[in-house]
Amino acid sequence: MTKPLTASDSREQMSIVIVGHVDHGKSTVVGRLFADTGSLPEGKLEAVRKECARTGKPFEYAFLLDALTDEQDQGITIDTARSFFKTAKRDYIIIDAPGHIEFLKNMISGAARAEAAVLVIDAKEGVRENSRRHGYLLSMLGVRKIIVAVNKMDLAGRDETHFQKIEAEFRAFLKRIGAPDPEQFIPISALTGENLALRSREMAWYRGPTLLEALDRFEKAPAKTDCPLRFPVQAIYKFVSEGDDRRIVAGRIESGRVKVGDRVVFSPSNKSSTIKSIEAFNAPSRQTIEVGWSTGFTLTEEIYITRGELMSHEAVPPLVSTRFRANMIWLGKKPFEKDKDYKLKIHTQAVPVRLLEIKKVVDASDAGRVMDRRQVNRHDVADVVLETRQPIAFDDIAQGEATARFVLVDGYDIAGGGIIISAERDDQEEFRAEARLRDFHWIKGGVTSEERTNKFGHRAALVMFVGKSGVGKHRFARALESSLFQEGHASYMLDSTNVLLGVDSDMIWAQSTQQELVRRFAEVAHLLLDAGLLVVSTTNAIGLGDVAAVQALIPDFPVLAVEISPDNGGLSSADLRMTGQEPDSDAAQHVVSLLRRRKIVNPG
Amino acid sequence: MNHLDQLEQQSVYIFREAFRHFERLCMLWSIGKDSTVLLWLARKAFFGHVPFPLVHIDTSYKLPEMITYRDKLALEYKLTMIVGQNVDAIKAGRTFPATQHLPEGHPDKVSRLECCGLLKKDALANTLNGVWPRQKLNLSTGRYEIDPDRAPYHGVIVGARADEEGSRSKERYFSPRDKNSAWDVGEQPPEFWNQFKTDFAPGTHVRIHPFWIGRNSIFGNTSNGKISPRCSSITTRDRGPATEVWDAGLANRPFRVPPKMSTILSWNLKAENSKTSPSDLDDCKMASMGWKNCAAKDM
Repeated sequence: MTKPLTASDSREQMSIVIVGHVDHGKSTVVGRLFADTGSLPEGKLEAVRKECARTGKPFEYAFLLDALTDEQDQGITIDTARSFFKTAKRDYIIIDAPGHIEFLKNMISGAARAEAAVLVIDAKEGVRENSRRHGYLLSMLGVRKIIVAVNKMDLAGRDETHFQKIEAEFRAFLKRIGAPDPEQFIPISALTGENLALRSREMAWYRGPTLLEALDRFEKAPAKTDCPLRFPVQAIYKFVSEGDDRRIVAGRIESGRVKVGDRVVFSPSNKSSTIKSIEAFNAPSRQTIEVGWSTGFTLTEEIYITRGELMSHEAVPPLVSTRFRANMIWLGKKPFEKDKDYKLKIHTQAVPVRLLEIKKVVDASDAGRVMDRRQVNRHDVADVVLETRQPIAFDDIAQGEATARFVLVDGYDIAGGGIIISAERDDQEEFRAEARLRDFHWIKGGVTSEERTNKFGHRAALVMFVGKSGVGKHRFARALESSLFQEGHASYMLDSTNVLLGVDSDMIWAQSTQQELVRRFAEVAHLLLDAGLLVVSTTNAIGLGDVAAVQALIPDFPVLAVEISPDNGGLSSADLRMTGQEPDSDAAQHVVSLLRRRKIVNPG
Repeated sequence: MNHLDQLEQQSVYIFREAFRHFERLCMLWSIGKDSTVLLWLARKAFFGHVPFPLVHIDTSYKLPEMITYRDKLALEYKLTMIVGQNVDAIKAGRTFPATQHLPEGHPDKVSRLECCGLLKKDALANTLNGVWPRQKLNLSTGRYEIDPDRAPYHGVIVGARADEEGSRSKERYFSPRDKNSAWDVGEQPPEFWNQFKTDFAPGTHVRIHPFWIGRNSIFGNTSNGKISPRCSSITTRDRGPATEVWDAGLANRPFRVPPKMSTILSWNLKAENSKTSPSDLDDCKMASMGWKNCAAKDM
C-alpha cells in the first residue's frame, strides 16, 4: 500500500506511559514535558493560568492534563489521558496513567500498549506500594524500556546520597521479583523543570542524561518480520449474497511474513493448505505480506477451520496444550479460585478455563514477599498453572507476544490478565504429538473434504456415547445411526468391540495396554472421519475418561461426547447429557439437534 | 508500514471484532468526514462489503447535498441504509430558531440545545432501540420504505476520536452504556493488549470506536483553530457558521496537521458538554458549533 505522505507523517512516534504512586507527580511531569518542549497550543498555558487565577487555585502543570470534570473534582487522574509532545527525534504519545490503586485496571490498559515507561518516585516519600506494583506490572506487561524518575528532588535538598539510596532500594526490589533492570534513574524536579528538558544546575553531581535525552536514546523495537509466522484466525468471510464467492480467512499477522504459494498449517486442528491469494479492498495485489497487517487469504484447498486457530508455517508451529504456566494479575472483585469456570481469551481464541494450581502469590505492594494462598485476590500478582477445557494453540512469552498474552473473563468482565511462561505437560501430550506428525504428513486423496461435505450435505464428526455399562449407550447409538441414515446422511456405527476383535486381536487386554487401545480406536475412527462420515461410537471397552485422549488424536474433526447417566454424571466436558430413560427416537433427535446447532449437519 | 497504516490495521481489527461479537450491530453515519472515513474502513475490513446497517439521523435541517451524497453512496456501495427522524417534533415545528418568536416560558419554545436534544439525541435513541419507525433504502427502487425490522441494535459503531475532546480520550474501543445511555467513566473495563471486553449482560448497549486509538493523525486536529481542508463546516466547533461543505470523497491524499494537545482545548467546552451529555453522533458536534448551521435551511 502506498500513500502520499506529508513530512510529519514520516516522523517516528513512540508511546510512553507515566506510572508511579499517587501524588508522586506524574501529571506534573507530563505538564512540564509539554510546556518545555513547546508542544502546547499557543496561549493555552496562559489560559489555564488564568482559569486557575479565576477559581483561586494555585497553578499546577498537572492541570493541563485534567480534562475530565470527574477527575478534577476528585483531584486524581482517573484514566489514561492521551496526549503528545515532540522532540527533535520523534513524537511522543503520552499515556498518563493514574496512580490510585482503585484505578489499577486503567493503568494496565494504558501500560499494555506503551512502548516505554517513566516510573515516577517521590524523593521525599520514597518507594511506595504502587511504585513497586507498577514496576512489577510493567515487567509483566512486556514494557522493557523503563526510566525511573526520582521526582521532587527540590524537596529532598537535591541530595545525591538520598537519590542513590532510592535507586539502590528500587533496583534491589526489581531484581528480587525478576523484573528487568531500568535503563536509567534520573533525579528530577518537575515543579522547577530540572533534568526534564533542561539540565539542572543545582544537581551538577548528576552526569547522566536528562529525561528527554534518555527517552530519545530508546530505539524502537524492530518489527517482528523475521520471527515465525503467527496469524490467529479472526473470522472466515464469505459474502455470497453479494455475489462474492471468495472464502477469505481474515485476521492480523502478529509476527513473521507469508507469501502466495506458502504451505501453511493451522493449530490446534493440524489442518493444512496453501496460500492462494492475499486479499485486500482497493489495493494493488501483492505476493507477500508481513507482521502488523489486518489482512485475509484465500487457500488453494478450502479447509474447514474456525476462529481461534493459529496459522503458521509447518516448520515452526505454535505450542498446543490444555495446560500452561503463567504470570498473571487479578483485578476481579471476587477472588480467582479453583474449581470454578472462567473464560480464557488468547489471541482470537476463547475457551473455558480453570485455575489448576497456585505456585505462588507475590505481594507486589510489600517488597515482593511471597505468600502461600489458596486463591488469588484482587490486585494480587501470581504464578499459576491454568487448564483449558479444549487444547489451544499459543506461544510462551519468550517466543511470542500476542500469542502468549491472555485475559481471564469472570462473568461478563475481564478480571485478570497475564503471560504464558511455558506449556505444562498434560495427559494427552504424546497423542497430540502423534496426531500432529500424522496430519502434517497425511497424503491427501484427490477428493477434498470440502467436496465430501458438499456431496454428503454434512461435515464429518465423531459422536461418542459414554457412560457405565448397561445404561443404553448401544441402543441410542444404533438409533442415531439409523436416524441420520434415514435423513440421507452418511453415518456409521463404530463399536469399540469391533476394533478389539480385529485391529486389537494381537493385544492382551490388560490395564497396561489401555492407552494403546484408545490410540488404535481413535486412529480407526480418524480414517472413517477422513472419509467424510458421521461416526457414532460406543466405547465400553475404553471408558469414560478417554474422551480427551480421543479428542487429542482427532484434533481435525469435531468429537462430541454424549454422556448417558441416570444421575448427574461426572464428565464436565460432555456436550450433551441424557438419563438413558428417553425413548430411542427422542435420544437420537437430541443428538441431531446438537449436530445442527454445531453446524455439522445443515441447520435448516 | 507507516503509522497511518498502523492506525488503519487496528481499526480494521476492531471492526472485525465488533462484527463477530454483536448480532445486532449497526454503524452511525453522519455523512461527515469522520464517519465517512469509517465507512471506507469498514469496506477495507470486509473486503469491499459492509455487512451491517448504516444509521443516519436526519434532522431535516441538513444541507440537501448531504442527503444526495448519502443516497448516492448507499446505492453505489449497496449499503443497508437506515434513516431515523423525530417526525413529531419536526411536524409540530418544535425546533430552533423557528420558535424564537414565542414568548419566554411558552411550552413550545425550544432553545438550541433542546432542539438538538429532540432532533438528534431523542431521534438517535429511539431509532437505535426501534421504538420509532426506521426508514430503509430500497436499493432497487432508490426509495425509502418503512423497515419491518424493529429489533434494537446493541452494538453501535461510531466515529468518535480520542483526540476530539478530553472525555473522549477516556473511552475504550468497546464502551458499554447502561439503559439510559449513561457512561460511568470511573468504571471503564480494562483493555489488556488487544483483548477487549466483548462479553456483556443481555441488553447492554455498547459503543464501538474503531478510531479510539487516539493518535489524532488520520484527520489532523481541527480543534487547534485551523480549518481543515475538507468538511470543515461539520468538524469545526465553537466557531463560525458553515460556509462550505466539501465532498468527503476519499480518493485524495490524507492530510495532517501537527498534533496538539486537544485535551486542553476542551477546557472551555466542558460546561456545555456536561449539560448536553453529548452522544457520539458526529452530528452532535453541530450542536455546539453554532445554531447558524442549523438555520441554514431557513434562510
